[in-house]
Amino acid sequence: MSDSKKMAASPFEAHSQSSVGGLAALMLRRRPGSELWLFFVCQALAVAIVTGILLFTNKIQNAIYLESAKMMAADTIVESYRQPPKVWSQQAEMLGLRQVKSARLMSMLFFGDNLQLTDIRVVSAGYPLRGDLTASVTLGGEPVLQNALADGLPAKGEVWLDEKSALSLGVHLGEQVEVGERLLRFSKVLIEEPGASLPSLGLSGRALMRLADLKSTKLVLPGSRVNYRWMLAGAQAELDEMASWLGPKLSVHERIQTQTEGNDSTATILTKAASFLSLGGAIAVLLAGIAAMIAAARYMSGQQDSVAIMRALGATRQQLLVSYLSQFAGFSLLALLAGYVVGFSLQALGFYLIKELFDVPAIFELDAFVAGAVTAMFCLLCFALPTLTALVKISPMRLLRSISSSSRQGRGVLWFALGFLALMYYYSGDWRSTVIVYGGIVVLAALVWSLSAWLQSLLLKIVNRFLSRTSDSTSGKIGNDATKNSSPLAKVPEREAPTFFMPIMLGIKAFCRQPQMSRLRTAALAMTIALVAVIMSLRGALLDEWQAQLPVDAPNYFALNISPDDVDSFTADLQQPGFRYQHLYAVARARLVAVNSLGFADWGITDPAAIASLGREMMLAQAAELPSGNEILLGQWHGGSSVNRQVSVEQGIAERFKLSVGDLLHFSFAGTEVVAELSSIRQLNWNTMQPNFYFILSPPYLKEFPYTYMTSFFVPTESSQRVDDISRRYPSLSLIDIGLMVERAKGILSRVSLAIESVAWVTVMAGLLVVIASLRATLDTRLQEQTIARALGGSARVLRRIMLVEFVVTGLIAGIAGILAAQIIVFALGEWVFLMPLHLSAFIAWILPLMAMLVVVVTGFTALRQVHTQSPLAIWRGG
Amino acid sequence: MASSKSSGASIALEISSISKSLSIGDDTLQILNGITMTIAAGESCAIVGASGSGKTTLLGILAGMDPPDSGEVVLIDSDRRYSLYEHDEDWRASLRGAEMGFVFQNFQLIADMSALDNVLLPLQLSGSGDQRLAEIWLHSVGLGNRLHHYPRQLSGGEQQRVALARAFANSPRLLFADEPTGSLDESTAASMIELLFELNRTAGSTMILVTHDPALATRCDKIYRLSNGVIVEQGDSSAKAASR
Repeated sequence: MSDSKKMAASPFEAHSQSSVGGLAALMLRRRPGSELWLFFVCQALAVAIVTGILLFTNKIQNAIYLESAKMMAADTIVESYRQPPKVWSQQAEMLGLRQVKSARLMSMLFFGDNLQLTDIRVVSAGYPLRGDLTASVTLGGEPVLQNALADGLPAKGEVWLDEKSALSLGVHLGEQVEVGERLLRFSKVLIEEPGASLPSLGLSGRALMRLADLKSTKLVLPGSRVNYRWMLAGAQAELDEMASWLGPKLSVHERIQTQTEGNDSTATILTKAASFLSLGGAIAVLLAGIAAMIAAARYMSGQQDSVAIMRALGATRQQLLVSYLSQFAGFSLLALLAGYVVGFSLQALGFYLIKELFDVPAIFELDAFVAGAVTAMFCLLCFALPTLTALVKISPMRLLRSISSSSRQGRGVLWFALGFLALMYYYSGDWRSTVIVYGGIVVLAALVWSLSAWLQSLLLKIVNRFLSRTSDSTSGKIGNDATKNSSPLAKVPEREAPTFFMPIMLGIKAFCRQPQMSRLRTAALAMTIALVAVIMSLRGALLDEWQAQLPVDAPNYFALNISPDDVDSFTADLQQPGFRYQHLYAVARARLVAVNSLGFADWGITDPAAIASLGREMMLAQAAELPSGNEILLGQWHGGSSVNRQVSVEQGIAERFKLSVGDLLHFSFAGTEVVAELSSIRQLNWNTMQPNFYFILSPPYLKEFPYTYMTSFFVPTESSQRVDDISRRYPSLSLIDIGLMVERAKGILSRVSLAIESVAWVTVMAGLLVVIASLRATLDTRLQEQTIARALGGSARVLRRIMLVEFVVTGLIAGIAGILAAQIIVFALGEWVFLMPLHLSAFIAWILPLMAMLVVVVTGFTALRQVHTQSPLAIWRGG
Repeated sequence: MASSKSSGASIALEISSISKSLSIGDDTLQILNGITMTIAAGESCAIVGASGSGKTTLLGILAGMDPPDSGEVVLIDSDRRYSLYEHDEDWRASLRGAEMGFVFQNFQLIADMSALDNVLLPLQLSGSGDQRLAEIWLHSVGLGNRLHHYPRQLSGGEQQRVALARAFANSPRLLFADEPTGSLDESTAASMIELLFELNRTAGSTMILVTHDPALATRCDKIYRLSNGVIVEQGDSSAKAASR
């Protein structure tokens, strides 16, 4: 023995060094089994989902942001109390961003004896950076797009007025209007300018003029309320850089507004849609990943003998690891390419189908392809590698002696778990939704595992008791397991047909017989049901919410300044075919001046935005009934009449001014102070096109002050001429056409809805793959069992019934657990991510488990149809 | 089919005090208990015994697949000695690839590899990867026309021929066979025995085979009979035949 070590390496060092490549080449020549193909399909699907969804959503998001930018007139706006400092402009120039300076202020315009309060937009050359500016050269004329025209903006010394202002002032084109201390020539009729969000109620006039004229009007004096808007447009990266650069330089009175927050209702839609798309994509990839993992595990399980043979023939673990990895890497590369092709084709097809909706420049989205490659790598390293490292440790003794090849899977499971967590976060980009969904899945897996274990033990006891009783009663003619039951050991003519319950009992027993496998399959199915239920519920909730916000007959006009004397005739005028109108609210202007007799400084209001809003008059409404879309959060709705003045306050205002039920609010109505008790706090839905109010007084107290009525209504496109007639009949009436805004919002919604539908159905497809993969994972054992049972006399009909019961039990447990988990996940997502009440619909809760069960049964029966249709001998030979 | 090994000589084995037990739940089952034996270079040796006597476990230990609890297996190549279990599993795997051949009861061909690739496997593992040699071996076992057939397309006898070709492809100096005729009918088994011994004679390997088949055992130079993990009888086969 003394010399054994010195000779130890001599005969084979050369062999082990040189044979890795050869073995890998040989492995690549092997005929890939169905599981390797399933792994390939799952990986390709994951890549296709990631690449396709990212390409699709990036472009849709770009289109939506572009739409949003059009509404803002820029990609980014810096709102400030001052003009942007020179250094800001220089930085924007350096980054290659286009810029426009603008200001917005309220002022009275005069023409002769007439006056009109007007929302004046003051702009520099280049406005608008995004969107269309339209004007006409005559009152009531056709709108003409101004963007490309040489005189696309009012020249110096000119002003463009909207039709309402012009009519109100009685000014004609070419005449001069008094703007502050300047006379400006009314040169065009302003039809539409981007960035005109819903006007402040009561202000119907709009005007556009050049920034160069602002100083000479002397409208801006120290203390004047002017909202300066520095508009920027350019590439997203440069905009982001500008925003980062600007961030620390802004004071509390300045803020950056981006495309995603440009318009309140659009922003809400976009934020929710982006969250959904990211989450849906992440869940779809997760499901494809689970399927890939199951397929990889099954492939590895089928390779145990091959590895044992190769190890017996001299393959080292390193050689095997490299060889198998080469094989998987080859398939991963193919899957990556296939995923790219499928993903790219799907998004191209998607865009082709909706091309009339989109105006997006063709940009090569490298990010999407990189993400696809990362996904493929992830599948390989997190799903295949851990199983591979366990596989190459298989003992060659397996060939000589039947030994179990159980290896410690703890580390592998940890790899999977960490891989999934990283994958989810990578795609969702949101830790909150990642934690909720991932946590939900982990809890679900634990729940299903424990529930199945408990049920298996319970069911087994019940079934065994039943079978032994049946066995006693039939004097041994029917045994207590599947084989004996189906075996014609007893004389054939005397054999009793299996009772109705027998296949049920045997099916339940089949579910209990391989406890770990059954639990794994049930857990995978439950996870799939839960994730698909979550995504389908979110899809339904978002689409319903948006549909409710913007129904076909969403109001497209606001009517203000309706005189109390005109209410009846105005209402009668709105009762025309196709017209829909909301409740008419009595409104008056007032200011909140104190709370509980304390000024705001003493009341402890320090929020600059709140302080700034104190100077503004707000619209107070009076209503006996709670307006639709309002929800009382605290206190009680004041109702039709009250002995004292009561007021209901919107939730945000209550928070901003630290108000609570019972507080006394002091309002100033044109100098007259009135005190009202805060009786309730309301939540509003701002995304509807109907009047919403911060303060609603109890009747009849508002009518002590000058008041008018307001409402919103829908007019079909073909009846728009009638609106002009109505407008002419009521000279004091202010009508605001918000139809264009509604149409834009609807356009955005239709695109977002389409993206959401696509992602939801891709998720369903990925879920289907998981079900198939998990079923196939136990196929060999099942095939062997059923073949033996058939050979021993089990009839195809009984075997089918047994299998049916087993699948139904699996589906039932998975369905119940999956739907329960989905309910919890959906609730948590609604509460903390989507900020909307979410719940599973009864349809999803019932239909999804049934569908899953159906898929399980169909897949299982299809895979095992050979066992049920061929003769036992043919199966035996084939097997 | 001359040996391609540089030394050319067969390997002898020296086994001393091998013991092996298995844990089954809380129980410990003693499989082998102090086995000591010597197998000379170029000798053929049969290990016989009832089922559960420990012969397959012993074969695995001799082939470097399963470490014993105690004892030593030494391979002697001319004047050099290698203690099998003083090295790690990868060392022993390389040794198996370089110097050993295996014939299993259930053939143990890789199902998704063709007959040719199955025979090529040990050649690839030992670094030569000579496909021509693999083809010659398949021709020599009468399967020259089935090179690209997969195992499931071959009969049991044909599969065992592929296994034989694979076992000898690398010109092993040690050949291990575990019930090589256990899955074959009588006439196929007889022809397979002929082929095995003929190939072994040509290769000049030291052969250790485990069998229930007395006819096969008596073809070997030496027979060891195991019972309950100990050698209860040993001798050369001619003496055994004479005693009967």
